[in-house]
Amino acid sequence: MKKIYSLLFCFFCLINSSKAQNFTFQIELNKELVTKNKLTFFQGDSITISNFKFYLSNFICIDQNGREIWNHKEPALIDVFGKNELVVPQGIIQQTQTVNFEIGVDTILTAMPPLDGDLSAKNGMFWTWKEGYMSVKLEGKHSLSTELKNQYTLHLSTDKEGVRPIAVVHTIGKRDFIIQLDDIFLEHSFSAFPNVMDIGESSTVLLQSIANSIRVL
Amino acid sequence: MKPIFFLLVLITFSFILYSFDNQSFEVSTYHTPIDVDLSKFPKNEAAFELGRFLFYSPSLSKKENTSCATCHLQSTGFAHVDHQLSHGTNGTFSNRNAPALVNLIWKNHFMWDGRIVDLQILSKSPITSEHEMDASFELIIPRLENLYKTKEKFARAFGDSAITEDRILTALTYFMIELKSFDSKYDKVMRNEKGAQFTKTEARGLTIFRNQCTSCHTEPLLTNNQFESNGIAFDYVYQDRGRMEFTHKKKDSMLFVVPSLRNVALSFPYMHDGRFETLDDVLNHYQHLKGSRNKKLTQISLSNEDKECLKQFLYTLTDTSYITNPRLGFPPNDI
Repeated sequence: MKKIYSLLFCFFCLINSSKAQNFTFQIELNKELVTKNKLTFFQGDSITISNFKFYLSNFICIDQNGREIWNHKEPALIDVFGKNELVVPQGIIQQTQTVNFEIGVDTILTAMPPLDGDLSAKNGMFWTWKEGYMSVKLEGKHSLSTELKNQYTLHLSTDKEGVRPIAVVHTIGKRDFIIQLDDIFLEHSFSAFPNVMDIGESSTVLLQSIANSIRVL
Repeated sequence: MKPIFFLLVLITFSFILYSFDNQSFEVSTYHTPIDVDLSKFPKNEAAFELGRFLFYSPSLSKKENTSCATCHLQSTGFAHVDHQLSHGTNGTFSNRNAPALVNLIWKNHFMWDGRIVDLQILSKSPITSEHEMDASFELIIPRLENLYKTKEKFARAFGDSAITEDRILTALTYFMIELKSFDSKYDKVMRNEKGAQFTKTEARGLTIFRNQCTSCHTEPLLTNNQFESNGIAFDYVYQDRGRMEFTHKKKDSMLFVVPSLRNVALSFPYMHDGRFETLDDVLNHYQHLKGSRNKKLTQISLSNEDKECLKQFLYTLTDTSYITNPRLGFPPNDI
């Protein structure tokens, strides 16, 4: 019997040792996890989020000695209501003390989107007029929005030569990221500017705010 | 002798069954579309290239941030994906989702309400519309005149470098004429091309499609180019009554031009206002439709299994050569 248990234990370890792990991303508003189209009350306003996607690039894991132990340079699309994970080789997460990554895509890399994968235009993140990509897409409804059906639309990006905001997060071996959107909904005027779809100053400010709002659970 | 006889009958019967099961539809209902008279547009490669340049140029929009391709992106079937309603140069939204551009020379009505009947003036509408490019030709022409090598492009296309509204629209028409898609898996199977074969599910999907859908989505264009009501409810916020917005006739309420289903798997969301996010949502709508003034719809009956087969068939309408053809993509940068 002991032999059977030992074998089962070894088998279990073997299966887990070959598995990759994932960093996951979720969003939080007013200390509540946000699900797609879930109504959240914040500062007297009612808010839903129907779409939150963003690109991260040059994702670097750093250990307690300041050494880079893993990186994912290529852009990865995170859809918090869909594919919200970044796959990482086994063992990396536990060793990682800090991660840093850019929000957005180096648009110089690609003008015409590929058919499949994270950079496919089918993801709705390709910005034709700039032959490049949005960094963040955030959409939903806000009770103060003056758009029809109280919709708001934030399509945020930087210029081709622009500097992408960098998020620095002290993970201390943890894997679940939270993007706290309180500051966005506090600081941005959804009544005056329900739509931001450009590469201007508003876009830059919002992008930086998002980068600064990422924590671990 | 008897066992051999029965074996032969069994083999023959199985073969017949297999044939019906795999390809049990009439290929003859497919045909290449009839030739269209293009004598007004004699071959002019320079005009096509100019049209392509203009199609991808944000200079045609007021704030120089929106091109035709913003809402009509090649790799998604020249449609505006992941946008319920399309937005334009001012960051404001129209009340409709930009339709996919495909096989335009066989259409006789353009826009969801069919208010434009001439391909040559089609482009004028989005160029001048407030919620689209919000420009005027008085604004665009001087801008193009100062744009690097643009006058040369006009000279190559039209014999001299004069930039006029008519020439801009003509060049765009030359480009749009080339937006032809007839090389999907469906087309290859219909043409009996070597190696092209439907799976059982796709074949069954085609049968269901022909029984339920082709009164509006007629082969091979997969549209009858008519105005139809498809049972979707009036939206009291957007207040869009389709054809009636243009004709002001009550009988035209909630009639819209039937869109082609070519590359439909790519061009989400669906309907004139993008209200259906996925093909499943669309098929659910037709499955649960109760009562419609359009008699064609009352005959639709879909089980859950039918929907899955139908969806698999609709995926075969994706034409990869169309969405990757470099001739229709971003023009090369001028040196």
